[in-house]
Amino acid sequence: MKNNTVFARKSDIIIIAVIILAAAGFLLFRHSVSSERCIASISVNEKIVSEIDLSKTADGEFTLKEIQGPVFEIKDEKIRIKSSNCKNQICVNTGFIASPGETIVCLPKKLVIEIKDGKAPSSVKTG
Amino acid sequence: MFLKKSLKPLIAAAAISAAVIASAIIYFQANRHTVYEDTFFSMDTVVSVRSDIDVCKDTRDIFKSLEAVYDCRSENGEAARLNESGGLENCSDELIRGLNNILNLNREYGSSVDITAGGLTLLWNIDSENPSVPSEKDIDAALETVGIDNIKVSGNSVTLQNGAKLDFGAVAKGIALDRVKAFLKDIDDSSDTIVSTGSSVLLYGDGENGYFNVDIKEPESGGVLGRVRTKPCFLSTSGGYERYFEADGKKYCHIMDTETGYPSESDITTVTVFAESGLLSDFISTQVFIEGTKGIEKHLNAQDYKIIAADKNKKLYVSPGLEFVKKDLSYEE
Repeated sequence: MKNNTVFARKSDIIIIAVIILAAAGFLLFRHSVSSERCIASISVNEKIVSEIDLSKTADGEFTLKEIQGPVFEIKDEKIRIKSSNCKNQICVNTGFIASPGETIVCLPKKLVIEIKDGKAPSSVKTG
Repeated sequence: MFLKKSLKPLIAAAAISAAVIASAIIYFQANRHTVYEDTFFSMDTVVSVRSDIDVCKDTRDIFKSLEAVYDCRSENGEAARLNESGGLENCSDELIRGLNNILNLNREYGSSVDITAGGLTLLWNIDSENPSVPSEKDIDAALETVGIDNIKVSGNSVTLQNGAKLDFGAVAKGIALDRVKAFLKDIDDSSDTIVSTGSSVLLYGDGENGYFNVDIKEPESGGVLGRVRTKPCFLSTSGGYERYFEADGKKYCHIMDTETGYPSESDITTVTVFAESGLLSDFISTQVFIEGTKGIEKHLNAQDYKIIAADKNKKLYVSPGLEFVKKDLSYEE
């Protein structure tokens, strides 16, 4: 009887264990989710207008109402600007991107597509 | 008995609260290291930052404040006001420091990279809607204004002689990256950080066991030319393949050759320089590009930086000691 006043009951311990396990499980889940995702984030004038999970998106072409001109294409979990009405065509010439940190930029339109994975960065593409 | 009974749920409640608080702490600790990706426009380019949320915000602030100093195209820029007036008495400490650092590099490495080329870059204005080839007469007139001896610095006052106009385009991004790194060291930040302006990059932190992987872009296909494994450092890429215009079937790139007054006709297609300073890597990458392969030997064996370059015949030039793995097999080492 005295024990019960000092320590929690068996059922209490089970409840606490369940809560701790749930918290740990949640963290693990978050971690595994964030390490698998590769998101193509499309922004115009520094505002994100679309975020696309490349691993879950079927191949195809699309346009965005927020920006006139560019036609986007997703193929084999990669994304590119297939065509655009801008003058220098740098964005089109960049081709497909898929790796974290890669970007497609159209300066005149202030359009940026960036691949994000939420992990600590250790690689970059330059040029 | 009454007391004992009421104590049990209390203890249980306390234990549960402790567990909840503990998991919250674990959660926020884990969250602190969540990597944020921030993208913003500055210095005529896109800057992308991968780090924790505070660093992303601070980097943006640093770039915006330096843009206000080195911008020579919008009237808000201190450099633009200096160009307009031909001289300013009370220049910012940042501008003076930048100017002196650049002029020191000129003394050490020569003046192929000349920040007084502003008259030329403005005349060619290759980023405009419809760039065209200027007349010989205009090019000659602009060339007259070029020369680092036209910059006179005394204390915080700067005078531009002979109508010289400054253009920090080749070096401002490197300077900004230097300031970001100094800031990160100041606050003793431990998060892995990559700041990229596309052509200039800061690698900071541990990366993967102390190393970062840098993929060099192949100029024609946009694919990967090869991969460099490096410790944290600065790197800059120069090439004529992205920013250029065509007139009468001829390509004119954005890098000016102050010898001729025309865009550089380098036989180098792409060069990337790795150094301990962003200003140095920016400066040298432009210099190697302008000088072409005939001047490349001294750069390959330089003490303060390492380079990887490719020429129009797809020949590669790699500094000894640079960990480079070729990916595009059409190139020859």
